[in-house]
Amino acid sequence: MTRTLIAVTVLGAALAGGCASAPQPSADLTQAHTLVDQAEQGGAAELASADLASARSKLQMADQDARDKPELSIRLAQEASVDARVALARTNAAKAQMALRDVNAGTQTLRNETDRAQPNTSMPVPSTPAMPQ
Amino acid sequence: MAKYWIASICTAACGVAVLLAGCATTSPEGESALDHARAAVQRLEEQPLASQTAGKALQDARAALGAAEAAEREHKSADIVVHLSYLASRNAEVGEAVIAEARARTAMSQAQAQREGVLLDARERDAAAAHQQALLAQQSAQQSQAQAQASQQQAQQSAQQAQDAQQQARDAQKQLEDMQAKQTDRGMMLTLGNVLFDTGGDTLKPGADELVSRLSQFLQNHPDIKVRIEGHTDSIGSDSYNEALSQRRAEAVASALQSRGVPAMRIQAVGRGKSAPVAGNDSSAGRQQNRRVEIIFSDAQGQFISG
Repeated sequence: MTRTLIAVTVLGAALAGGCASAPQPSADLTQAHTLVDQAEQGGAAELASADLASARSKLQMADQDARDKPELSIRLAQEASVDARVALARTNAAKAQMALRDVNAGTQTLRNETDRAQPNTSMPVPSTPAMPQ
Repeated sequence: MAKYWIASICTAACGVAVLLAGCATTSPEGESALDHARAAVQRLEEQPLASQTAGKALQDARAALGAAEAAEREHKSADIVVHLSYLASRNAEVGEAVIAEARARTAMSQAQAQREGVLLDARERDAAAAHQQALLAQQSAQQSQAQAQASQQQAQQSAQQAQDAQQQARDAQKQLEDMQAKQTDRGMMLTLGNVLFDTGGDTLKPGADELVSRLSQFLQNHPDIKVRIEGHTDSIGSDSYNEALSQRRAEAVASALQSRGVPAMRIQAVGRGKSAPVAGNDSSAGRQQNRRVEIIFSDAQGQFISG
């Protein structure tokens, strides 16, 4: 009886110690979910699909491993987060570049129309600003 | 109860195994991931805009790289080194993307300014074209007005000329009437009796001077009017004699006019002898009427009424 009590106490202490030393993945998982959602809402499915897919699959695995393999779950959640960040940043960059292309194309069209309307103009035409890579 | 001990021992053994695995690192895959992360962070650091525009990503990448290197030094498991290196690489990629976005935005403000410039140019050109068109329209309107004025002037001139011509025609008519000319079916005609010549003679008597003078004055006042001078005789004498005499008398009148400055081309002189009597030749009064010179006037255009 006494031994049983001791054993339970030791096991309880071990579990409690395990709980204290083994980090909980919930915070990383929450952040990863938030970031993946943000990337999706930003349009990453269209403009950075590979990065978003990577984030989603790691997040899914992180969710699955949350209870049984907390450390792996944390790592997967952190990688999912950084993948989602990459996805969103690339999506935003692609959007800005497309907007720039649209404006430049519009300007060029306008310029062509004006030049056609006034074919003998001798005004120097500045070149379109180069698209950043 | 023995189960608990077994469980405890297993747990401990597993922990040792994990620790042992942690100690057994410096794996090729850890090295490779770390190299990749170092290169990615360095690339980002070399971007001129990195610290300005992608400060947080750069900071995160550096922190993860530091942690990965520490894990490597401390011989932690390859998984951890690979994981931390991955975080470093991916944060560096976030930085690259943020810089690309910032560049696109900067270029965008330039592009918008340029677009404004092109729009402004287009508007200025439109305005200039409109102004040019307005000027042309104004010029055209002025030209039209000037043309209308010219037409009006011309019409007035024409009307005036027509009036003048009418007035001249009336003047001519009146002056001819003053000289006792009569309207006949051959036009205005002035009949001069044989008082101008001696019988059988072809020299104008001094008494004819006044008449010739008035006639030449009239012709000079009306430079488009021509005259046809016809000499006529009575029936006494041969045809050839009468024709020659009447011709000479007509020419005498013509040369008298010419000597007063009337051009020869405006004068025709014709001898018609006894061919066109105006009265019977069986009385001396009739013959006197037949001995005459007729001066026929053209109209103001130099045309004689035919017949």
